[in-house]
Amino acid sequence: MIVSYLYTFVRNIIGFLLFICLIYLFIHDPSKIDIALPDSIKNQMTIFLSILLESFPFILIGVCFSALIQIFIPEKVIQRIFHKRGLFMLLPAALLGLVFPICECAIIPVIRRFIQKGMPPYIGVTILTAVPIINPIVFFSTYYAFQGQREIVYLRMGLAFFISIVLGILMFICFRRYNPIRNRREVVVQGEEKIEDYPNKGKQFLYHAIDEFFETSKYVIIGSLCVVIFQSFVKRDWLLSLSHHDHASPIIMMGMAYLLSICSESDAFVAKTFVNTFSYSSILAFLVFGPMLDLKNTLMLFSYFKTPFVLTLILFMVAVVYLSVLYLQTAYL
Amino acid sequence: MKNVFSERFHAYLRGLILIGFALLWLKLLLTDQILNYISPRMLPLISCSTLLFLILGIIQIVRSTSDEETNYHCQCGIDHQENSSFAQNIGLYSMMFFPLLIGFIFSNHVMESSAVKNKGIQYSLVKQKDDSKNLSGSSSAHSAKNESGDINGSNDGSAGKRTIVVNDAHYVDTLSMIDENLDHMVGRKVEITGFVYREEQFRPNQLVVARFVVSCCIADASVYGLLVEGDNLANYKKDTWVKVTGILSKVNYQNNILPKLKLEDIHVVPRPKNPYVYETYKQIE
Repeated sequence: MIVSYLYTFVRNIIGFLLFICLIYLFIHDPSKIDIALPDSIKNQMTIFLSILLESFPFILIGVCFSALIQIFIPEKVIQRIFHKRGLFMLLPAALLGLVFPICECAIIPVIRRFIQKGMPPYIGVTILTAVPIINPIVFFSTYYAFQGQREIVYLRMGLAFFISIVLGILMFICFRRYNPIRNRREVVVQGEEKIEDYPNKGKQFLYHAIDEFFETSKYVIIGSLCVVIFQSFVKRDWLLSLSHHDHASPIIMMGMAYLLSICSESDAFVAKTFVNTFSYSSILAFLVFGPMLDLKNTLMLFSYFKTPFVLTLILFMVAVVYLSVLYLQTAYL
Repeated sequence: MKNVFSERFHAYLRGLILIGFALLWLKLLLTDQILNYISPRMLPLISCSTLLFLILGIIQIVRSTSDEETNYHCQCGIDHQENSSFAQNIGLYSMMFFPLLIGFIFSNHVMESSAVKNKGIQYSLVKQKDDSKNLSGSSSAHSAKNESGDINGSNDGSAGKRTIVVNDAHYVDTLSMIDENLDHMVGRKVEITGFVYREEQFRPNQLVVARFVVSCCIADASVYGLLVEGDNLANYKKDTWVKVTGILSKVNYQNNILPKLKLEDIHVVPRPKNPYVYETYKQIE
């Protein structure tokens, strides 16, 4: 009894102190105190926080979407949409981004929710890879970044469409009837789920969004930390020195896209700075591979889906992107 | 020890973190320091997420005071809360508080020379034309039209050659215009502001006036710079903000033809309120 009071006391003290800290930090003026840390660490921290600032709005959009799906779309509806339609659904799936332009941070929670509600995993894979590229926002940012080279825009969109369909088909062959959702703890499934089970939908929606935000954001935080650490070790000049090899340079650029983990909306502007050193096909590899897979969301994929599923997906992504870019390079460029 | 993290305490800490993010975003917005991190283009989204964080945070704090057991779990069939040990919980929450701490402490930090090394600097914005493997861009076609355009200060009349002022709003446009038409631009007077950056192999009479160009957030920033040559440049330490006026000429640097300024005038200026310039989605053609 005393012990439990003690715990409550400790909790209250910690909670109160943290609250006071927060208020103090809010009113304190950072320019007054100069913390003597090397500039390189401050740079890393600045980049780290800017990645969070940029991705949190999209993560919030993603978890809110996911919560909406959970609360308002019954399983039956989703199952009816995909019932006996098989691979034909891959086409609308690949073009979904035209209607729902969301980026790669936001899409993963949404996809997991859809798959859990009965969407076939291979459709999920196609959406996951197509939506962050084939959407109006990315189209325009690429269009403006490559004003002199319009072909890049159309090749990026076209290639993304092709690759997402191929990935969908490959996953259809490998994981046709497979539940890829990872469950950390066995959850008692209460028979057939009914939407009416939720007494207060508004409240449930908010609770869902909050819980899923925490589940997602911790991987984004770890991922962003890894990104800034890698960025400070990997020197750009060193990578550029490898740019002359025809077969290696797309791989280098894919690795770069993976490590830089830039949001698909702005990666075209970064790709532009490589134009002088890398071939067009490598830049295309950068633009197509980056939104599909990067360091920031690999952790999220592994925590949401079962390991064999994610490993196969990554392997297919690397292979399909690399081979199709290589084909383009030899055939047309 | 595990009991310290009761369901209710978890809920409270999460609420506190959400409110913390709302406060941090709000502070950055109010002090304009948000521009040290992201492009103004993103500001509406940041404002919306500040509001959302605040609402969710308040709801979460209220949720943590509720006694109903059902409030701690949602019935979605996916387990959100891991069954973690004391140490795991400490790690998890310090990781969530960590960005808040750095955000509040380092918000006035501006990236300059020390960050250039990893990013690499761009001296030239055009594709070298001798590379036969690449697609033929239409860049030369539109740049000719552009030269007579209204990029401020530039006047295509050959007689009245006014100074080309590279200002913040048209920073990238102006530099790429200079680059693409370098042959026509040689001899023109250019004025540019930026921080002093030097590479190791530079001679004492050389420096670069550089600027970070941000398209979305500072993580995707690139560094653009213009080479300057002249006397007495060694006195200007790296990261000093300077305004330079000079005559444009060409230089062969590491096998690239690059624009270079022959120094006419240089003076130290205070760091501008917006140390970065932002990529605009304005169409050039």
